[in-house]
Amino acid sequence: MKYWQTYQNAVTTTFAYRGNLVLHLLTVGLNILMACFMWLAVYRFSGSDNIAGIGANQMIVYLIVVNVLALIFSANPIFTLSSLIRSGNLSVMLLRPINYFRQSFWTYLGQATPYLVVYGLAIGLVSPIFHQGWVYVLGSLLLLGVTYGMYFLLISLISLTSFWLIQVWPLRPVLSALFLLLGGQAFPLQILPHAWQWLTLNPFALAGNQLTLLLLGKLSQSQLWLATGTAVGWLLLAAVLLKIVWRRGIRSFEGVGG
Amino acid sequence: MATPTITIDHVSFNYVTYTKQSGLRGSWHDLFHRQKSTVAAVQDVSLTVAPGEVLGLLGANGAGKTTLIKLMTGILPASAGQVRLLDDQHPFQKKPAFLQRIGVMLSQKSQLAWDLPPLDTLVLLREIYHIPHDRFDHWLAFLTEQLAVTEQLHEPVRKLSLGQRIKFELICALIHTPEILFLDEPTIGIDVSSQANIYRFLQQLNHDTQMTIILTSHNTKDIEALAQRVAVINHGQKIFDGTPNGLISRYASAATLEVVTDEPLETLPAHVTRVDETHYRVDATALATVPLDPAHILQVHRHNGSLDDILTQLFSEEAPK
Repeated sequence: MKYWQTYQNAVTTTFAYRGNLVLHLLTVGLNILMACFMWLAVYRFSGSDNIAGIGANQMIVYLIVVNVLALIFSANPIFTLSSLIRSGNLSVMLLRPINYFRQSFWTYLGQATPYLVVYGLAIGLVSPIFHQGWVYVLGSLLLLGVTYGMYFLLISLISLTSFWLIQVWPLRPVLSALFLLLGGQAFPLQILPHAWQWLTLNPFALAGNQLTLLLLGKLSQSQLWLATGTAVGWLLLAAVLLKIVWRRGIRSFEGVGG
Repeated sequence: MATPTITIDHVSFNYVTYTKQSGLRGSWHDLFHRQKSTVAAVQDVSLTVAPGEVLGLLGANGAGKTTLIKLMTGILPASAGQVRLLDDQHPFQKKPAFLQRIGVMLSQKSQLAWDLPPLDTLVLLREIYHIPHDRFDHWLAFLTEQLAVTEQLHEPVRKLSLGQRIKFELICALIHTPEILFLDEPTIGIDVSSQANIYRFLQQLNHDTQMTIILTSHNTKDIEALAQRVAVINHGQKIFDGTPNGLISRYASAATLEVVTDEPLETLPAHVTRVDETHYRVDATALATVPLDPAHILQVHRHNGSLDDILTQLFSEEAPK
């Protein structure tokens, strides 16, 4: 129940600044529009209606979905922990009989809930997932869950640099660029040469590119299991590293000031 | 004698800090050769606190009193020595059973969610500490009534005054009825009437529940109103441990009385010197009684005999080499 309450508070906080939420969505909408116009121009000048097996209309859907996923897979935990460490407010969290990362996960989930609802509705209403049998549906849900957990642990792991770095804001453009390029937010990674296809299994691509293809019904059963297995691998690696680095970080925490 | 609730045994805490040179050249130099230095924030401090005792920790800014609280609550690990609270020998492990028994209010570190009403944070704490709903409702109603903030329970924290926020921070620290309460600057920035309200409430709480209270403050009024015992920390070392009156009698200088009268004295008695028109200084070491007409005395107090005077003198002393 304590984590459920954390989740509820995170959802409430997200809606507390309605203006900010609307502005944020408008900015994302503009980005999507720009990307769509750019890709439509590419289709027109290439004279082809198919690039790497993706048609122009599918590309637009791809860009919309991958940008919604970029909202779901945010880097917020990095800046939250950094702010807690710099202000010394992490002390307050440490004094509660609670697991910091579990609490952080439910906050992360609460903040992403409006976008998860959009993604869930898209899957339910337009995705062909439900026409591919219950094994595929269960596999899809597993991939979604594992990827969400994996990405949270990865971002949490990166957030631990806050114990040693005074400012982590330079990481924001780096992470945005990683999601844009490696996550497939700017273009589907499938247009890369065959020798570079292994990039589709990096953590950012699993969260962006692969989940978009899943919604579009473009992941085969074997690709689905490969993506899930890789996500589990990244998840375990991130979990082990998180435990080791947290132990070291917490000893270097000085609980700044009074 | 009862087993101490808190035992601090020869505890030290050091941390590494960096010094930065000024100017562009200094910044360039620091980029490649940062100057590290080790700061001894707490040095070989030993202390025990009995169950139900109210201990005031006094010290100047950076003296080490908040660090000592962080060592006791397990936020920081001791570099040397041992800290034992209740029956837990390793507060730094922050076991849930241990954290359940302590309440901490760090006035400059907020527990409250800024964009939500205090009630939302308190409900979250109810779940974290597994407080039964009826007990929570009853206790919360009591606390908010005692601290006069019932009406503010549903207002977003960002709209509350500083005093109201401090009171809700105190409620957050008390909501799970801890056995030991740590208060770091509990009355910082709040008005005298709210201060008096907090003093009365904490005194009552200590009396009724025998809750052990550890208090740090720069406001000597807090210490005088609440602490049964004080420990003075200076440059990371404990330099005094005893009652507030014991501190005054140990450090007060020669007995000189400051007297304020309602009108100027026509003739000055022996051993009395004029400070200004109606303000006199009396050398009490040479006299058995005050040589002034009591009907004209407005105020009398011992020069250098208040906690403020003594602490000013103590804190201005150089760190021992």
